Amino acid sequence: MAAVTSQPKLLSTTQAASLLNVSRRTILNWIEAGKVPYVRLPGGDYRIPLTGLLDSLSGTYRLQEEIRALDKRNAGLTDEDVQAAIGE
Amino acid sequence: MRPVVLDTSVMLPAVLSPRGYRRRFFVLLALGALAARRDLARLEANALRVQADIPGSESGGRAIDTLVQDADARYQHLSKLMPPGCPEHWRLIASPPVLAEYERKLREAGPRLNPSLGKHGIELARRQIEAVCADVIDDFDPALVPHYTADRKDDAIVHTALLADAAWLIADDRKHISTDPDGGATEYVLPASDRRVAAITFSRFLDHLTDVDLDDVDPALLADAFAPPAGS
Repeated sequence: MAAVTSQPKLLSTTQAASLLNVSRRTILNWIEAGKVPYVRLPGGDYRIPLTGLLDSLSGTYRLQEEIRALDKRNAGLTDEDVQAAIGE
Repeated sequence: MRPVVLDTSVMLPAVLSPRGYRRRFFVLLALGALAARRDLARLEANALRVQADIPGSESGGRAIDTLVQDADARYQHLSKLMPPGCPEHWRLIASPPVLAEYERKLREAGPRLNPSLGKHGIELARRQIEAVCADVIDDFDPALVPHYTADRKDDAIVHTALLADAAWLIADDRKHISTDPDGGATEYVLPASDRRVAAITFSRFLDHLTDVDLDDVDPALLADAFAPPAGS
């Protein structure tokens, strides 16, 4: 059973790619660029901490600037506008 | 810790409507995510060190200590901007199928709302959601989950809330999820277990959010939650 816990999660590159909906190659690029902490196991597999992966989103994509830009673009939208568009 | 799962009817306004109440709650969830990440960073750093100690292993990339320090700095930065006494125990939980459903809805409705949103805007919106998630439960096949609602797409969201042992599933979808016509909670049960979750509309959920007044939460703080740590 996959209940949420405060347990550490060390992900394989495949799990990390699936989680973020990016290719495994992208995750390997992040590893090679040193953007995420990792351990390379004796068999060649990598382990990446989930927090390190999520934290890398901020550094990789400049989330602060992106959120401000998206909010500026959507400044006129209300909750009701969005719910109407999705049919709720 | 108070885990919650958001239906698309709550998540999309939180992401796309910059001044709404759902966004204000999203900021509260961002604070919870940063608090969770601060705590988990320490645990994961220790777990990674254990792996690194295996003979033949090799560690690399960003320094683990930096990760822990940055996670604490991000939390402190947002915490200082939030109202005094603001709770940090709310946690947004998702699953890979739920993240995929958010994205599908964003692609479907986004261009209708704002034609300039484009593919990049959709990707950005998904990244915001991923960044605010305190945890993502293990993947599962949506085709194999029990029938909880009249809409199979909603079943994955209900299933996620049950697997996550969520305190609430917040949904403004009254056709399929929060089906009580009076706005009360609708209870779902995970088959062959005693695990339950109550689905409730956002407006009724606010009755349970007694430890903070969302009017005091600046919705623009979402961007500040992801400010680069000082010195980076």
